[in-house]
Amino acid sequence: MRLPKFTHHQPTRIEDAIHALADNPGAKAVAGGTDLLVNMKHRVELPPALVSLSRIDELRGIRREGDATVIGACTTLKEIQRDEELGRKFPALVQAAMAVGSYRHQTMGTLAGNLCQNTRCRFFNQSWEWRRVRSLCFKAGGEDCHVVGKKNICFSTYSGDMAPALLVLNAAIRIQGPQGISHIPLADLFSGQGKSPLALASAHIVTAVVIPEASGNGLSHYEKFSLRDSIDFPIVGAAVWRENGSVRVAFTAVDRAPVRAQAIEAALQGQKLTGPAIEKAASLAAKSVKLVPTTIHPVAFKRDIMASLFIRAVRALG
Amino acid sequence: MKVLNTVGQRVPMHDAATKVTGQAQFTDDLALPGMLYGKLVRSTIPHGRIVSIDVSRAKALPGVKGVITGKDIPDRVYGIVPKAKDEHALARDKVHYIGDAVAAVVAVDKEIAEEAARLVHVEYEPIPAVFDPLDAIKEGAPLIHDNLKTNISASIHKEFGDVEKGFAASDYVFEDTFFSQAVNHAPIEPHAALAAYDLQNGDLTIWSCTQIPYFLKRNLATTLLVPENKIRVIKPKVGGGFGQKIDMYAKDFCACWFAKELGRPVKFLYEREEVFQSTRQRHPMYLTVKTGVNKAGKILAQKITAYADGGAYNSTAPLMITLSCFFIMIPYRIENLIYEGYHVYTNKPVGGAMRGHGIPQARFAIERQIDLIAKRIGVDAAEMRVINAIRAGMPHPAGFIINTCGFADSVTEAAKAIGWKEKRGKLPFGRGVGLAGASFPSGVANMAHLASGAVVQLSREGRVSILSGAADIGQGAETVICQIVAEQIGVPMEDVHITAADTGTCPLDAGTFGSGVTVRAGNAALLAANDVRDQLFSFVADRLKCKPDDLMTANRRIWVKGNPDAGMSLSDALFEYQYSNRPLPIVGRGGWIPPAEQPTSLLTKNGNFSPNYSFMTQAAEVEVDLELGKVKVVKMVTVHDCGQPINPMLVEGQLEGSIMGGMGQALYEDSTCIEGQQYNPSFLDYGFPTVMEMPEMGALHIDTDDPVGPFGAKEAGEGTQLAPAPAIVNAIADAIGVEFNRLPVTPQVVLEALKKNADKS
Ligand SMILES: Cc1cc2nc3c(=O)[nH]c(=O)nc-3n(C[C@H](O)[C@H](O)[C@H](O)COP(=O)(O)OP(=O)(O)OC[C@H]3O[C@@H](n4cnc5c(N)ncnc54)[C@H](O)[C@@H]3O)c2cc1C
Repeated sequence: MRLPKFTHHQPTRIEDAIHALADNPGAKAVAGGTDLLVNMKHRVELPPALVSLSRIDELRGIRREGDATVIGACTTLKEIQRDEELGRKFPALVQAAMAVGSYRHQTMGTLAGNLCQNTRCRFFNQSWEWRRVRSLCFKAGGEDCHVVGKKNICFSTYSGDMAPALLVLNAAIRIQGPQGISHIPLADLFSGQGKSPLALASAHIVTAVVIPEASGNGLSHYEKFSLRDSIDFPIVGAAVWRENGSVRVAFTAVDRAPVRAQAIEAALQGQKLTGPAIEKAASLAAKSVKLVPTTIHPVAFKRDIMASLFIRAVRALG
Repeated sequence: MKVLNTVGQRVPMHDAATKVTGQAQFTDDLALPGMLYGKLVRSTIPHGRIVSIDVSRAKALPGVKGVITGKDIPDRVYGIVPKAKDEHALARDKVHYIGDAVAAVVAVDKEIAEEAARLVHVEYEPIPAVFDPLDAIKEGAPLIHDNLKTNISASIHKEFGDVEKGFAASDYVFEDTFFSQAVNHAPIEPHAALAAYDLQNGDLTIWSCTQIPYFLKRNLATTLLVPENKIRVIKPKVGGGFGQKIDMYAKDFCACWFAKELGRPVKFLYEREEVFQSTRQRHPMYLTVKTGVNKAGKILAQKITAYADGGAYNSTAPLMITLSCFFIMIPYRIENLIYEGYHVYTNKPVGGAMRGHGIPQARFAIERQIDLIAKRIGVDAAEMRVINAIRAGMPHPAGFIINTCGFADSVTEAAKAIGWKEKRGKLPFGRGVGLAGASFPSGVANMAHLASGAVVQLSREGRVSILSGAADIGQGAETVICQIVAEQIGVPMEDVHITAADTGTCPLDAGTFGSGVTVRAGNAALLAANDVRDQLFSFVADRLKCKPDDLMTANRRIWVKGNPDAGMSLSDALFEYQYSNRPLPIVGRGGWIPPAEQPTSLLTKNGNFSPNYSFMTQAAEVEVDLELGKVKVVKMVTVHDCGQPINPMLVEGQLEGSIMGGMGQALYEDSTCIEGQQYNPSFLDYGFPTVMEMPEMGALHIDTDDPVGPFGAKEAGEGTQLAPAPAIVNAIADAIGVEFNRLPVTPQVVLEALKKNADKS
């Protein structure tokens, strides 16, 4: 499959990237390109211009800023895996990075690219030739949702591995736009809409991920379920974090955005993590999500996997 | 026993270095000056009449050099089995599945070709479609091909022995139904063709990733209406076939057609998606097996009913369903058998030959049922296989001649290797072992085209050049042929060179299918090499004052048997040969056709189908994740009777590939459709196992010395693909007590089954 035509910008400073995005309507940022370029080949994303972030040194690297660890947006997943301190403090983050795609996705793919990846659906992530058999789906610019058979709605699923790990680590996102720099909780990066899943204003980019050092005091773990040990997106991914009486749990690949499992967290608040307590909490796993069969995996199966995966992740905390 | 120098050695593939350094040229690596790029327009509906095709916008696009539809080309059908031809290069009146080719465009670059294809507008009148063979055979089902009265396009009804009597004599009779899903061959190289036309003499040359150049040539001649001697098919390096590259496709026809019409080279390259949707896949098959056994587990009669989902066209239909039938009677001795098999059209991607070709589906059913029966009547499943094993010299109800057979030993050895005694039924819940057996022909004894030829030249410098028609598709056919020739002429591998699978310069060959290459083309090469050696030896014997039969050769030296000092170097021999005024190079020829007193394709009559038969047992150990349903294959061993392995490393390559393929069939792969549209047409979504999923693997060999194969060789290609899937599913049953009779066994079905069992208890 071939890429469509687009213009390519390769700034070396953040400000220039933002200008380039602002000056080219419809332009998109590209980091490793492992998500975006595939969608462009499928003709489901057709930005007329790409602004590459890969030459901007400021966007790379892992550093300490006060009481937070700051990871540059364009830090690759491999670089995250290789950082020993990250591994010690935030094991879930490193486990998630190791779980993404294959070796190649990890060496090309970046942290922000992973967080900002598009949502997925069996009717959307297909070529133009494949999709023309049906009417254009809502997400691709038409009206219909072929999964639920309704109009003007989209349940495409957020399937990134990094987001749940960062959610339980209470990470924030540093954003830069024409007006300057701001910080938002990671959860606020996601709109919850299948059609446009990111709540990022135009000409804004993620410049870094900020993890409070305090999160390093707790234990964390990421558990991914997929058929193959390589390449596959998660069928379900679960991250847990625990410190004293408080537990944070997040899932991916179960809804239009990565989700914190509030029901589980509430049920376990102040509880001892005994077998029965965990089992009981696990039954609440699918409470806060809208499961829709956007892949071949049936909803009931995914619900079961959510529960089992949560249990496994908690167990792994020791 | 004969001492061998090159045969039997772990020689690397002769083109390995060029492949790993990226220098080997596959079809898409080739480019010719002025080359045009083609693209096919494919049906977007599963079934319907073509009302009109508007190509005007495509034609008007600058850079477009040609657009054709089915009406612009001869009304000729093609197909791999002559009497089952039913496919047009481009659909004429009807489309039969989503992905059927309806038009083709060529342009000066790929982008323009793609855009032009999108501009072709086809108007259809949809016809109700049918997607399951069991629906397609119902009264009133939509008729897929107008020239037939039903959707059954091939069938077989056979009775061997006396089945009624067999059942009457049985202590138990069991009936079970099994289903094997569609899987795709997924060769790493997508299908491609490049054609060029010589305006001066009318010669048409096509480079195509084909497994069978000579069949392709013939099909091109009959569809293009060009004499066969004007067509030259060249097979460049091929990145895997597994049977998918046996058929001719629209890309072959269209590349040739445009090259001839336009006088410019034309290339077609399929997208991965087209490989999944518009080439071939393994036939999904429903099999109902009724088996009568005595108390000891001896099979006294079997009755089998099979429905194969053929998809929209025949491809190899009659042969596939025939193989499925006849190979029930091997590796077990089944004296009384009724087999009723149907190849049914549906509006889906087309079934075709795929490693094992109709036999894996039957093997899955039979090998699963043996385990079921063993459990029901309380005999050991491995022992039941030994009790029923066919042995060398035993009569086969259809007339197969079993000269050598290591099957019974392979069962015993495989059981030992997997730890059957200690493990079967004794491992903790969630862990289990299972095994399954199989047999496969080494090629097809007689059908049109089924001979191989070889020419071997020995030059003045001692360089050996082979011409062979054999089609190496990555399995190492060329290497094996070089080894055989090197052995006979007594030179190291690096002195031997091969030019193969070019119908313009190489002798006839049947091609790569039915696991026949090593035995057939290997024997032809052996004869040609012997011819060279005989010429050389008769000269050298004169010089050394001995009989030619007394001479030995190895390591570029010829000497008198038992007297190593009485000899000369090959170089000296050739020097003297030249100065004795003999013509050089020394040229040897060989041709080989399987010996068959009663040649048969089995389609119409019984007989010895193949020159010889391989046998094997594969055993698996699995671990089931009881919470997530995932099955991990921990270990897999193969015990194999392939006669004399010409190259043990290449045999192991086949074994390892078959384990991966078997795991895919058993656990991972499902070429599913949504309303006739192939749903997962990418390596990401299709999800075959990767090297990460591979288990610990072991291979053991049962020695047999076959009288027909070169150096006693038998096939080692397709056969090993038959048993891995049932072995794995048998192991799952041992692990969790759930009997899965439907493939694939995904985490979802495992969890459902575990839940159901938990609810019960
Ligand atoms: C076969 C295959 C398997 C895969 N498997 C997995 C998997 O298992 N798990 C998984 O999580 N992902 C998977 N992916 C998706 C992808 O490879 C990864 O998510 C990767 O981390 C994306 O990073 P990237 O830098 O390549 O993103 P890009 O493709 O460069 O960008 C992705 C999106 O993010 C936006 N973006 C990138 N950087 C920024 C920024 N700094 N600010 C704002 N927006 C930005 C882009 O505009 C684009 O919309 C897979 C992809 C493929 C093709």
